[in-house]
Amino acid sequence: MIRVLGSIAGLTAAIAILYSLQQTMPGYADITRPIAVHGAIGDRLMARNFELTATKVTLAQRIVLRTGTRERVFETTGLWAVVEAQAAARHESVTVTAASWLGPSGSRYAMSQRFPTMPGLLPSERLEPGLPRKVLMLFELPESQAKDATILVSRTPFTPIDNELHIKTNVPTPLFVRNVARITRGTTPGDWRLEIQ
Amino acid sequence: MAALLPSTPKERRAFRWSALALLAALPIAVVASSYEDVIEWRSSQELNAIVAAPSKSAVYAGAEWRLERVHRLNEPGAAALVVIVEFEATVKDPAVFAATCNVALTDASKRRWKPQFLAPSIGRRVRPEAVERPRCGSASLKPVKTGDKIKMAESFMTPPDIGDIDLIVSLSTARPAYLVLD
Repeated sequence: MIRVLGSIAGLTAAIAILYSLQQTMPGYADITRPIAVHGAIGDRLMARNFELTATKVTLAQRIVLRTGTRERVFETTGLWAVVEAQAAARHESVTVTAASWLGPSGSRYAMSQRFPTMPGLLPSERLEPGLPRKVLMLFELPESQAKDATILVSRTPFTPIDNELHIKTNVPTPLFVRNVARITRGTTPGDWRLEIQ
Repeated sequence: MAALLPSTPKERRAFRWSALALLAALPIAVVASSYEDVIEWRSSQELNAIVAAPSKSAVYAGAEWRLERVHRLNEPGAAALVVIVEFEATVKDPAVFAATCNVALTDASKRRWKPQFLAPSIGRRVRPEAVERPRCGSASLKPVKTGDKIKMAESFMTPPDIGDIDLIVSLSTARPAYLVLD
């Protein structure tokens, strides 16, 4: 009788354990989700293979790319968010290809693809260990998504079990939107200068 | 319910043997299912170093490799140092030599700089004969025959205060072994 009761207790315990394991099992997306590194504008944040300090966020109505004496204007029906940063590789040369602007509503805006020849853009600059360089991230977004946003930066758009920087922005209220952000190409490859008007 | 438990001596013996067999079968199953992945992972890693002492050559991946010259070029006003490394390989086994070639520069702190796709402008101005050499990736893809001496160069952007540097070469046919040219 005791043996039978023991068997029933064992079986019940096994069912309970298996059921709780089934209920708490994380999905594949949870297991492989990026590992967040939180910080704010001005913080030097370390990911596994690169480091980045977002130094300034500027909102503008248009972006002007100046090459020599030629200017090209990029208009938007929303806003441009121009993010300046300093980035370097940590142990090995690396290219950081993914950055997005996570708005307060949870909408995510990937870096604008409208600037194929813009100098200094984060995904087009190879980062080297010990050589911090100035980089740019440009986002096109609706006005409502400008405040209380977080900039997400990772080495690739899909970063399973790798770091993703979560940089809290400090856009003031009311929004201070500049007229023009003019980016002037420098004399050496990847070199640029930003003027705000 | 009681029928689930072994009751006779014969059943108990069978139960013990099954439990022992399971202990052996589990590790065998893990090894058998992951063996190919482990071999593939190993062939993509740089694990065993073959070191060539300064001004000495070393045999690696079907060729004899030698570091020729290292140029450190500093553009006035630039934050980075341009390092151009000239090296050569004398082919001994063309089949092993014809493979994907990875190159990197390392220093004492084990940081690694990958080569530049295009030679920096100071390299083209000051050392044109070096930057005109083929890069390792393109040299090892061209048809070669035994005895060919292939002169290559790679350029790197490093911090100006970089100390002693080594050139690391690894070919897919020879990994996990890799070559360190001191």
